[in-house]
Amino acid sequence: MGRLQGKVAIVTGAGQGLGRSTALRFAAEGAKVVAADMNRETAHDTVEAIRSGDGEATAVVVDVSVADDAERMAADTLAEYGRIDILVNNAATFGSGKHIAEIDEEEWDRVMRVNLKGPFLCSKYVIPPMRSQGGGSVVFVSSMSGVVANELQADYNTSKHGLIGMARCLAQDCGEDGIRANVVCPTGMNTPMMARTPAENVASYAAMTMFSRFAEPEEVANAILFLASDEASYITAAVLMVDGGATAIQPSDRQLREGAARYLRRASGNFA
Amino acid sequence: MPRYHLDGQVAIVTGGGRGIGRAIALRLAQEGCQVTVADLDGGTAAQVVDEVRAQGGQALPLQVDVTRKEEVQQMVSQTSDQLGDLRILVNNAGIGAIAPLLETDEETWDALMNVNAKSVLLCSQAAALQMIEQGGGGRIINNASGAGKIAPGKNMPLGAYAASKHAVVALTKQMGLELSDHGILVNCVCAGIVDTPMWDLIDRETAARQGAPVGSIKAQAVAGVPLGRIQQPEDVANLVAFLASADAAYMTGQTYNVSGGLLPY
Repeated sequence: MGRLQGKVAIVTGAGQGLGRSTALRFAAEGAKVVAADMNRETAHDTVEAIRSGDGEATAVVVDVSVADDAERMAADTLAEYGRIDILVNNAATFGSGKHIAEIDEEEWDRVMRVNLKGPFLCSKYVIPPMRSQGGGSVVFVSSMSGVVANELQADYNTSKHGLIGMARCLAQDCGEDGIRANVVCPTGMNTPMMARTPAENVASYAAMTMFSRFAEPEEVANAILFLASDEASYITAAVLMVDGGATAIQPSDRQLREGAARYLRRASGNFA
Repeated sequence: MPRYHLDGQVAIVTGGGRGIGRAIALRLAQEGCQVTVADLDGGTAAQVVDEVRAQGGQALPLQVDVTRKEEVQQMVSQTSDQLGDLRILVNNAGIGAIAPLLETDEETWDALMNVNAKSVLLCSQAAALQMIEQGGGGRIINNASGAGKIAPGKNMPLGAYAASKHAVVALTKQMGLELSDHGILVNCVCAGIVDTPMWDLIDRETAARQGAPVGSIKAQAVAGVPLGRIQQPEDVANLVAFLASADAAYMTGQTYNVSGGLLPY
């Protein structure tokens, strides 16, 4: 029997990268998956991939930062499957990549809207059905950038730090309803998002880890699955670092340079 | 119900005779591990081994004082001789002591540091050397405590205990780094208010100090848990089983809470 047998799960940003890996893994573990994405095509691709593996899934096209969309996503899920057991707040956008003094107000608002307001809205509308069912599990995808600083990422890191606060407060507010809220903080992953990042940055992110390599999205999906499942029934307000130990150490610049060189040799320019 | 397919993997659980250690040993055995149940009290270790065998599992009882290097080395060598290549070490053995810091005597401090912190170093050294000799790869999972992250509070005078558990969290980080080249992943778990003999002790002794009824300290503590129930040893075992599994292959050097939301970070 699957680890999510009979459960209904919404995964936002399910069209690609970590969201897709999570949706596929959930379905393989017996969940009925609502694959939510802004991009109709990629959402449907994920659903097709799930169905071709004999899983059950439905695509919804959603801008998580629009309240009507988030509300409709919850309503459609209830209409289709009758309950909502799991929400994975995964949809996110990168920041502007600018120095904090140079970030435009519009750019800042865009990052906060997608990365913070989106998870707030998506959570808000699944809480009432979860409460009346007697519980549920909300997993927030933050980042290693949710606990440390990175250069030129003030907007992105602020949003990812904020998610941890949101998850902990949700856990406080909804604990008595049996609703759990937890966070995973991955380091860089081999995903489309990272493929758009300059190779130098990619190498230094990899070098921060104890393994001098990135996570595969499947490795992070494993942790999301654990938190979503009943195996984690006593875990709430917790932050699971899935970062190859990156934030447990303070690497010296020299270690970082050496690690980056090692990584680049191994990756042989795959991200260039 | 087994979830992680650890069939045939050899594990050692220290302090495996009761409480959280017992739940971890039983769970790993359900996942297919062959488990050395190590405990200072050989009788409780034997009882847990009987339980494992009754489930159809394989286990080895050992009476071990984890603060003594020779005994720890013997634990590892007997395990690999009798069960096979060592794959998982769970550093769970620990003791508690109730005393405000101004009343904490040197013997209490030394005992807590020896059993709760030094044992983690000794057992991990012996286990990691064995794993490296086998060609590398393995998991070390340390059971710290919520007291490894925060001060337990004025009504719960566990200062020296907290210091020893903070040491375990720190050891986890550096050990994860030093063993990463050998493919050995090191992680730590922090539990909240767990229904175990240790929490009975904390409750009894703290209640006696305050002239409060037995059970009231535990009840107060549980009232502060967002999920609203006391923790069972199995809740911790669930997290340990995950960390021992292939699903946690990218996780090392870190500390994870299983506390019903009690721990603030």
